[in-house]
Amino acid sequence: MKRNIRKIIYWSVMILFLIIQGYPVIWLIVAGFRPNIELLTEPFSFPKRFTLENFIKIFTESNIITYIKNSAIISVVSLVFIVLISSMASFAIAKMKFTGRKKIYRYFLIGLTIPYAVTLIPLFTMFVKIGLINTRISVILPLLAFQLPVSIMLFVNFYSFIPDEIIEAAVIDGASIYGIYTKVIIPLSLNTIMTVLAMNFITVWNDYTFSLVFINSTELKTISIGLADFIGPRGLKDWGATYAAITMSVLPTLVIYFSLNKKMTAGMTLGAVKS
Amino acid sequence: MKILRDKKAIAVFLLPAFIVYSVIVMVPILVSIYYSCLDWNGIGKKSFVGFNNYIKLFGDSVFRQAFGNNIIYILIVMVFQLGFGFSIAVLLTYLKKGRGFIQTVYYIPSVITVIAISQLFTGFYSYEPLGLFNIFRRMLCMEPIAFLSEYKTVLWAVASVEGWQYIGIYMIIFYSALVSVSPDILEAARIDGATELQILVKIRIPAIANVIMLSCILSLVGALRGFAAPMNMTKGGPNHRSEILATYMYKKAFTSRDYGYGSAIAVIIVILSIIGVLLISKYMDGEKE
Repeated sequence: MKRNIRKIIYWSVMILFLIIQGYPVIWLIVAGFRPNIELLTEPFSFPKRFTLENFIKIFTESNIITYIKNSAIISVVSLVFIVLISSMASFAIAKMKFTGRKKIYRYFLIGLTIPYAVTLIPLFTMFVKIGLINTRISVILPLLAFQLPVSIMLFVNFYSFIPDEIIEAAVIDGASIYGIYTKVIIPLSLNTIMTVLAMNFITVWNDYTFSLVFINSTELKTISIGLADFIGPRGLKDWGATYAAITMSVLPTLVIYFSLNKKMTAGMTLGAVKS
Repeated sequence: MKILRDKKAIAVFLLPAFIVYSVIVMVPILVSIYYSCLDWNGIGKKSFVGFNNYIKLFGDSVFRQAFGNNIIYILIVMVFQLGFGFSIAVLLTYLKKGRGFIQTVYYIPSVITVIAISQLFTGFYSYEPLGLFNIFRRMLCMEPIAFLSEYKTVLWAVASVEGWQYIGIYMIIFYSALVSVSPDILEAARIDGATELQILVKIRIPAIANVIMLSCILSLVGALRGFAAPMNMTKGGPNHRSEILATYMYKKAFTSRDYGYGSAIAVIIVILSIIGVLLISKYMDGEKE
């Protein structure tokens, strides 16, 4: 009897939490399919009517395709460079021998604690001076730089599990140091690369701060900034269009999350628990 | 191994990351310190004013409010993320079936852009039309509140959004630490008649003390990075009641074009995060490599 009561309480808590975490996201996606008038008057009653008009509207009347394209370009370019240069640096830190490598590692880890906000003014003046302001590079560079610490932490962690004998064997076979990196280390770390990609994609795609400060033209705006665009008649927010746009913006992250969720959470816990 | 000591190769591997990271992340911090001693609007002449900006800061009631708000903001976020994250993680360890599914759902909010979450909660908090939270209040026979324009509620409303969003991350970190505690020890304690609460306090929490410490730091640092949620939901308002240092800095620098003053606020944020850095390196020192 006592056991049963306990079980009921346990499951009530679990399910309550499931609703707290899941309901907002489901509501959000459903809201994109509801007529604007319903969202303005009774947003939280049970949906009465479903429509595609919000999606038709955002694709025909707004710049959302441009925004998605911009976010996609920024994400892909950032990710390529994040993986490339963080895996290279991590290889040197984890496997090569030089004095001060622990110090260098620690220097990179400091970046984990630095808020974006403190770099905004200097970066802004620097980008203005060298003519990078309002270009995609002005968003890509800071995203790349700020994602290096966490990526390096994951790669160094993984590389420290690769036995030195594998590298020794490659050296005996006559491989150069660059050959070891490209032909031995990279093929071994494909799983880690996927983890790094998945984790960074979420951050990079969702960027708000850098796009807000460094980009001001409509043609270069990213999706996070573009979500504020949908103002309906009489200056009121067009909620239907906004939620439809939000749905479009979270779709890629949800797809990545559901297909790579094991790898992502593995990275989270590896980074946090082991290092 | 000689090949692993090749200086040129080390430079080739290390320098790209080192340069990008130094120029974009580390150098700007030093530049901020320099700017904070200037009176400068970003375009005109720079004039050196020493510590004037800092003296102005301490006399600025909005800054003091933002500083206080930021501390409360950080505490709310940490309580949400660590408190709920830990409790759920502990409960999950008792689950035998369906854990993967539950974990997946709990984590979803963490992958969604803060902007979407802020827009969504602006709707939930809404007074007109009645938002979800006010519908709950009415069911409990309470007056509806305009959460985001009421002085008393606005900071809590904004901070709990960020707190709620990342609960899943901490749940996963705590969960994987908890399940790495040897089940034999737990079983032995159960046979000796220990209650689950005693096991939690006496065995499980001490066993994962390191991870708890690290999560505290991560959560603190994450909260210090908070900017997008208040910026989107209230822009720091009403009357600076949800202003935090980052939003105030943004306004000073990019709306009032007072770069020196904005940089002084940035330096204060750096000082707050240095506390975080010290905690992290202390944690790393405690571990041997």
